[in-house]
Amino acid sequence: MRLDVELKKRFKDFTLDVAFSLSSSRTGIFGPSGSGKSTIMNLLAGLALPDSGYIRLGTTVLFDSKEKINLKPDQRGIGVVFQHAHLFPHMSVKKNIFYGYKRIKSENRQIDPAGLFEVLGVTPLLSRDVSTLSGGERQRIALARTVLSNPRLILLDEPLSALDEGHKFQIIPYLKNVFNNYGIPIIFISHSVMEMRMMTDEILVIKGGCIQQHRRTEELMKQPWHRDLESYVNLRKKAMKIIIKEARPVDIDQMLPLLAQLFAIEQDFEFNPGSQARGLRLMLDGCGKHRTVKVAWVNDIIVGMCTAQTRISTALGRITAVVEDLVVDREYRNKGIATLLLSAIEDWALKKGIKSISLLADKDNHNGLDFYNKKAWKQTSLICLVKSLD
Amino acid sequence: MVNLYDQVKEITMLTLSPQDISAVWLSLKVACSATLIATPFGIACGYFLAFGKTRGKAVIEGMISLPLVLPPVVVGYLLLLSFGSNGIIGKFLNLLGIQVVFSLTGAVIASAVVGFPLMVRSIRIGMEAVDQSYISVSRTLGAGWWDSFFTIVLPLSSRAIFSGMSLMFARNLGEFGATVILAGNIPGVTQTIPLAIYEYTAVPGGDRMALTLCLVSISLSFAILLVSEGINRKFKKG
Repeated sequence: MRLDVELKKRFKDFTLDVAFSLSSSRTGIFGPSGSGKSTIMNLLAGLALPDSGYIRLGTTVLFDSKEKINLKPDQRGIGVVFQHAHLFPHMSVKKNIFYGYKRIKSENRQIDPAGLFEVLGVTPLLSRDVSTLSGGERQRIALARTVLSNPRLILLDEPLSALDEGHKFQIIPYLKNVFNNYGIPIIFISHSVMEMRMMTDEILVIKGGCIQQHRRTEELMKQPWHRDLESYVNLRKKAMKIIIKEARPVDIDQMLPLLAQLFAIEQDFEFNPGSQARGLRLMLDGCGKHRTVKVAWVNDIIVGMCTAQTRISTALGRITAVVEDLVVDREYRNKGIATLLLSAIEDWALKKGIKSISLLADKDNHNGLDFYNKKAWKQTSLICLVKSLD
Repeated sequence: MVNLYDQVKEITMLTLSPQDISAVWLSLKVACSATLIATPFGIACGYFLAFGKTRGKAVIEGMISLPLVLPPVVVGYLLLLSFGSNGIIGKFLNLLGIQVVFSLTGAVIASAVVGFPLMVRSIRIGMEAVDQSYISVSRTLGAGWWDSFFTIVLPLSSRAIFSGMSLMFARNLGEFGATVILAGNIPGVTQTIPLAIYEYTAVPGGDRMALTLCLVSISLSFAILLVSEGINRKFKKG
């Protein structure tokens, strides 16, 4: 189904001005926080009113400022799954799921609830109380509720970002199943490269309220990412040079999208413990006792980072430890990212008899940057070392 | 000591005269009617104040809250000017054969106006606490405005609505100033508990009767609080 959009919406300190046509059944809207992704979603769903423009879904005009057409949200046939599931707290799980379904005329009900429950694995949850569901379960119920309302298009507004890693990886197959089985077109909004890669066929890259790029996902993933990286996150040129220089020996195509992911998202990053964690071969260390080196695990790559205060030359000169064969055990899986890496690396260091290694600060360590502090991540100017595991 | 003993003895032997019973009954009738009539308007005003985006919202909010800060006698006098036979509304009602001044209708109107801000404030706070996202979700699931209002907004703010109704009911039971001005103090017609107590205190030897009605008033208020709390807990449990 084709979606033609041209929209303008002015806010006090932000203007959204976008125009695009989508024909793919799985489209992503990708961009950093505050770029206008959710505003587009609200405008498409009819939850906010554009200043001007039009929205056409197939042959239906949902909004046209010139023709003064503005269909209400309940008339648009656009389902939305929000970042937080927003299950109605005063209703049972069953009532939640059937909320939209009951509002469709029986002749228009195209989806068999029992089949959908099977696909989403929600049958055992139907008798549960909403308040007892986990994040992943809530999101699956929200998805079932939206699909049952028989939408012509589903907007997924960062549906995975509120979930922890375990739940995130649990729900992705369900999402795929739903769209493979029912073929409802989706627009997937996210700031995660990995989610985009897994869930979309084409991507709109948005920044500052404007569309920067509109390409097939695979094309976007293949292009030289450092240029895009620069435009997305305004990394300093110096830092970029270091990345390129240090990354030469590794697979740059594999590394840079993941770095882009790490920086473009600005607030969290992907972490997939255990699965492909074969270890890292090199680790930057030794920014001193009070200049703790930061490390982050991005899928199968470990990224070493150090603070903005550390001079590049100093940092490079202080690569003192080579970490080999670090394997993240299952027992670490349920811990937080920082704790996990700290524990794993400390264990490794202990086994190797290395005493000087000073890695990672967890959120309680005030000597280094706060691992969970967004500002601290932004201040980090140097990516010291990245090494692919393959 | 003897006086105290006599007083205790008197209190324990309290009896209600037919006039007192009529006052209690009228009080309940007025408080119930005023609360029930005001509730739909209270919900509408609460919704408007919680979700409305009109520019003059602050002014409207001020006007709704005004009876809360004005002396009830002033409210009663303004109502008398409006509903009196020469008042703007009074003239119109006269044509329809409706008499407000010195009638039960007057007592209900006076109570409704004085207690209304309390109800609206409670409902407004409750509605403001309803996450707008629930409304957005319901709309995208195919619910129209009214559907969303009845299935999402009202149930999620039901505690606040009930709380507002209880507050208004309790306030109405004690309403005096506006009622006495608009509806007068006519036994069996407009004489509610506070008006009856006022009358007894002005009559020599009426203390015992006044005390009786005070006890009735305290008991009623306490019962309302208990019932209100009980229902509130039930809402909380869901």
